[in-house]
Amino acid sequence: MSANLSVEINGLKFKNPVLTASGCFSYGEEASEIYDLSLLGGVVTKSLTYLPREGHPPPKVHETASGMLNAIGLTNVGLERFLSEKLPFLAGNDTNCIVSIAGSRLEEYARLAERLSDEEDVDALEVNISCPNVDEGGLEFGAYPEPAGKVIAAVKDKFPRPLIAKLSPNVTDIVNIARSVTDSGADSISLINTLVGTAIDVKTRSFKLSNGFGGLSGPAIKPVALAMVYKVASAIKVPVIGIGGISSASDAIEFLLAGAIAVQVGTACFFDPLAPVKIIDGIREYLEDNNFDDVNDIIGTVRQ
Amino acid sequence: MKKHCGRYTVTKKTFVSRSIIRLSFRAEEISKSAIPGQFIQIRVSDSFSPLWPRPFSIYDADTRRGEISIIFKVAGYGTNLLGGKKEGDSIQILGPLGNGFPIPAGGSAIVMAAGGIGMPPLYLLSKFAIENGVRPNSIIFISGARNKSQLFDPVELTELNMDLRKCTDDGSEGEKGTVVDILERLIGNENNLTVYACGPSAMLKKIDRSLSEKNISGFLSLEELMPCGYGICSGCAVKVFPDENRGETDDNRDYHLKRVCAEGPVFKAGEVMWQ
Repeated sequence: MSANLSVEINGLKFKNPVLTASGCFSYGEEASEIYDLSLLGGVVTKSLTYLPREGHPPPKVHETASGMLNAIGLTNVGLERFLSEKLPFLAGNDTNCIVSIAGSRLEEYARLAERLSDEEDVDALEVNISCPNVDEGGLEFGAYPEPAGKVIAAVKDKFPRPLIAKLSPNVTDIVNIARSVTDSGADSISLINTLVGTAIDVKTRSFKLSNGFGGLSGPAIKPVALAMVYKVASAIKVPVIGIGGISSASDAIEFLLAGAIAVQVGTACFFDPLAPVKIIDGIREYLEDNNFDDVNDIIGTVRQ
Repeated sequence: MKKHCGRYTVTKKTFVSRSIIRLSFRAEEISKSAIPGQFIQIRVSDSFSPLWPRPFSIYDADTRRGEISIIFKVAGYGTNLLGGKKEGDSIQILGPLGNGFPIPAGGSAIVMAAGGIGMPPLYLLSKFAIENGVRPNSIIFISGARNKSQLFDPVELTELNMDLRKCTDDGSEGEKGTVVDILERLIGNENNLTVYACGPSAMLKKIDRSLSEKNISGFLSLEELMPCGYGICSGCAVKVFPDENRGETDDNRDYHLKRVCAEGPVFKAGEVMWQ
């Protein structure tokens, strides 16, 4: 018999522990032209703001050693177009739909959560309090325990289904932030968002990104992400979702062993569109090869 | 539209010149649906160096043999690795991607303006146009480069029997001058024509300006490095003029962004806000 891959976060069942990360999958339509999204444990949308955003001017991305910098600037279609155009498409796939929300004020998060709570097709919210790329877009909340907790409490008040808080690695002590958001009602924590970075063109002596700074992602950040996931998963009780440079099944399994109940695949979707599907197959193979009949049996079992 | 992602085998490798290489791949599904101006993303290494796949315009799509071809110049790290591939090697390809050119059906005169690496999609477009009933000698095909060794000049291009006008900046092959020089001379006399252009952005910017000055219709194919190539990252976006009915936005920008990979790579003349 095939091993059980399903996991659960506060009553919400995922058919497998592999999700696509916010900002790395648009709203799912493009990838559905390559494979069936119903294979996935879940899709996390591009972060949504109340009004549409164009985002930063080009250049918005820069390739680095085993990674990349991005300063997209929360480009998104805004709430109304999301509800009329994007959500119906996502709902037509047999996978969990997790909507990422971002805001410049506490009230914007609450307003988004309230409106999205009416939509049964939205299975969970991921609260982005960690975007490093816009002045007002989240990190001012996510950088300190108290404001991070306040955002989560405001969203929790409006949204009755699972709430995932996405944390930034650009802080002095991520465990403190994790404690604050779980005390405020987060049902799960996802980490990490990108690491702040930059690159300079020595010929023109100017920054390579129009925004100056950007977020570093990709295989280069995996060891940092893995250490943070281990620390947070060891310290708090709610389920943790691991994110950061996951490109293969072996990468994903490392995060599960470190204590993540699920993973999100981000930058790998860019260079290997089939990465999420290959990772699901690879986890199944690993379980069978190692005589586990349930993925839950390996979560957090790294030896000390 | 269905996009295909998988490992495809190199079936043929030929050198067009010392640093310009043609590679063909067995990729039946891609060959059947590809149209001129579309591209493929090739992951030139299975390691993370480089991380991003590289985009290449489809040069030829042979539905009978189930093959697609690209032509590229070995210019940097990625194209160097790709140039090292041998017949029989397999490589990850995603495609076909983007919106192609509208296929000309005759009527107004047609000018293809190909600067250096911009030749491949315009070759395929010419081939489709001719199959579509356009007389070969009614297509003016300008192909230019800095010098003879940089010129994309495969034999198939000559075999289409178009009005082919080669040019080089230093005069080492064809007429001395740039693609823009020759195009501007042509459109000085005639404005009932449609221009299809592909090449470096400095060239496209100049062509776009000339076309709008003379109110000539045209289509420009842009090239950008792309993390994904299929629309999910928005990293390759370029500025275009915003729609008047855009409505309120959160960040009040004076531009709108379009993804080169998904809304492009072909844009209408006058659409792009050049930097």
